[in-house]
Amino acid sequence: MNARFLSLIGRGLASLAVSALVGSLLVFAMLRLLGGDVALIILGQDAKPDAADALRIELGLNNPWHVQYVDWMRGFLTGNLGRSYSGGYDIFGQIAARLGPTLFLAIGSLLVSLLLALLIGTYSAIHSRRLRGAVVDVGAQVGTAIPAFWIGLVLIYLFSVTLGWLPAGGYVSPVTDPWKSFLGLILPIASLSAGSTALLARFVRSSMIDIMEEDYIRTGMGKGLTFPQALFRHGLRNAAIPVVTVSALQLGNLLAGTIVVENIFVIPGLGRLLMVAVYGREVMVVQSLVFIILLIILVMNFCLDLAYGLLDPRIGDRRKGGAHG
Amino acid sequence: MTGFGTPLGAMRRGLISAVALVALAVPALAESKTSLVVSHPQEPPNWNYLVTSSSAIFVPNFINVVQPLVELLEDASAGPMLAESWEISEDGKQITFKLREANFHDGSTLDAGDVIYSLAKNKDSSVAAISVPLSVIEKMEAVDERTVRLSLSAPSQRLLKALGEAAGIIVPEGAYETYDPAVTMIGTGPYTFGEYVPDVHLQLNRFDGYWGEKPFFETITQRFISDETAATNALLAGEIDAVGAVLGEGLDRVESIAAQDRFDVLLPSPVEVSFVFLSTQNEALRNDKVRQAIAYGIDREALLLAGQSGYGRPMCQHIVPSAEPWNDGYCPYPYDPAKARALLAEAGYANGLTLDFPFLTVAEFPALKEVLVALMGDIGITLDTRPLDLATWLEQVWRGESYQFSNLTGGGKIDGFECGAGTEPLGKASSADFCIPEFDTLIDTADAILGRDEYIAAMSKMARIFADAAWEIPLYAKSAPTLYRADLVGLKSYRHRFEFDFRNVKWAE
Repeated sequence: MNARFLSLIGRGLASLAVSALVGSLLVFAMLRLLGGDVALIILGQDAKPDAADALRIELGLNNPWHVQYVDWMRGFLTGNLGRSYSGGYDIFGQIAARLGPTLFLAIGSLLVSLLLALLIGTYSAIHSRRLRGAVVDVGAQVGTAIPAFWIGLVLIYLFSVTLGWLPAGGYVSPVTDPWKSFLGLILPIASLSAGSTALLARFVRSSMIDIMEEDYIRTGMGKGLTFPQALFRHGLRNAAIPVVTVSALQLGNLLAGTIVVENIFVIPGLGRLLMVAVYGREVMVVQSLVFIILLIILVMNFCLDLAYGLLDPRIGDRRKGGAHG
Repeated sequence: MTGFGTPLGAMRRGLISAVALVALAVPALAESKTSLVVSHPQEPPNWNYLVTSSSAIFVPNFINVVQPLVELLEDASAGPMLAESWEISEDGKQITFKLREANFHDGSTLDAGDVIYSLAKNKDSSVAAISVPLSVIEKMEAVDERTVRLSLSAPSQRLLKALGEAAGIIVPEGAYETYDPAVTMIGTGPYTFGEYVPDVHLQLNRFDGYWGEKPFFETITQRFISDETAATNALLAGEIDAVGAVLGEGLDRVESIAAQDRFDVLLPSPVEVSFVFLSTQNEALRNDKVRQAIAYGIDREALLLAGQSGYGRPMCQHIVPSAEPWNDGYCPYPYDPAKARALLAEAGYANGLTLDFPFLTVAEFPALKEVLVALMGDIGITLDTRPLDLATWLEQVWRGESYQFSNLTGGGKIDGFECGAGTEPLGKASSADFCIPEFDTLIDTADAILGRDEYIAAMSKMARIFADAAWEIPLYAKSAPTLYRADLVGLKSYRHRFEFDFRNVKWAE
């Protein structure tokens, strides 16, 4: 068991390292193909004609690409990404400061989505042959189609502008004021989680419908459990595996979704930093941020692989080509 | 199925509790009366105005934090600011400034050395609008601790005015060697540059050592909200007290918000001009009749409505700001599509003409693009559109000159278009087809004219010659409305840049 698990970790780490290396090269190369020039952004329209060339040299933008890549990777691994070309801020410090709001938003949305999806999906599955189940299912389908920014604007209009119950934007750290922080995150999390809730609810529903037909549910009921009790005790765990898979993949979507939601709710997270940096051609900021998001997703997938190994030993064995359990 | 009611019931109860808790929290959103929160749509890349050409640097800070030598008044004349008074010699080649007693935020006091240091730094700036007007200064000397004399190579009409803008900002001597101007500012204004959180806010704190009257607000939080829907929502929700300038998609909401009793709108005089510019490298566009046809095909009213929801005024000359005394309303090519089509036919393009039109994808530009394509289509010109973000546009169009027809809104002055020497794409051209010797001569000589009336006449002539040439076709002067709480008073009704002057702003009594 231990050797099998260690091998699983080893293979996972190797895969993670190779993916990260390829990813870093892709991110670096794609940004160089983007065009645009941070020197021109800094100088603006009113600069003297020769000022841009001088600034490019000063910023090291004329160095060969491989030198720039090695410098970046060295800086990334040692926690020193240098300073923003135009803003002059410490890039690593700025990313660290903005990681909190984004993770709160993305992970909060994921947890809310999961919780609601389990309730909605299970309810819909149990009532799948009735009108109310169909209504919930249609609601979930519509939910997957509504963009987060639209939901955000509607929620702001309703709860901030009309009712005045919740802030229309801004971010307060939970360390500074937990209550205000909680209030400030309600609408952004609601906007961001709506789509993933609907998507996950549909997965929970189909998993549950499959499981409802399984023998062990009937066995449980034969032992005196009610149908919902049998479903919650024996069905949920089995239904969880595909849902956990989709949830992990959803984290990537949620992190991407923060770019829009942070902008609407004026939250100083990684999404807003990324957007501003792209427009400003702050290549060091953009490539570091994208790489960090890539690493988060890779690490999530790595953890997921380990979780599969723990939850279901057959998965690891299958990958080795071993016997089926 | 009865057992299933439990989790749903818990969820329902939880939701009710959450709503109740949220409702209880409403009083926590109440504001402090000695602080003000204002939003701005743009945040500068940094605060170093000597290197970075961005009006967003000055919006929160000009006059509030950093102050110039003189103050430009509503009629564009110069009034005292850090200079209490000044004398100009008869030949116009010497200006002597008497400085007031003032303190810098770093604790030092204003003296002649600070002025000489600051003007020398400004003169070396890579931003043409700052350094070019100061290039006439040959020598600076401290007559005494509070008197500075500038000796000029020639008289200069624009110098005094420039000293009321960024070129006249005074900082403590040695400031740029002791602090990073990209991340902070030190001046003599009524507020100090406080906490700056990039992408979030800049806080100004009242400066007790201010030389003038103490301002009302103790702190002013200036939030950067680029999404104008979010900014106007924040105003409606009571989270901010004013939206400093509405530039883009928020313009559609200005009228409806201002119609509410609790809000008001201020329309400061325009400080930027929106214009189309044509490539000097294109054979068809070198033909005067083609350019004139394009100019006749421009419906400025329609463009003003599309680009600014009508906030501004149509303009046919490049005069920045539009309130300059030489703006006499001259319009050589009023909207006349029939005449445009006839001119195009005369030029040999009766069957049409296609022009490459890279356009910006931000602010008002997508809306302007739609109208420009329709207007030009109506006279037989097909605009081949290419959407570009600002960085790519600057590289390809502004610097790379890869365009035939493009447009921009900016606060650049007309002398930026001087042939072969300017910063604008047109100004880079040195082609004999483009150069207008009379215009270039006027740029070189008008500034040195001593008499005010003669100077205005020369500037008027310069603007007319440039408008006639139609290489650059002004569309309108752009207004940026300020939305604010109706109980806020003291907002300055005019602007020379996009500054938001907080000196006299307070709550109505």
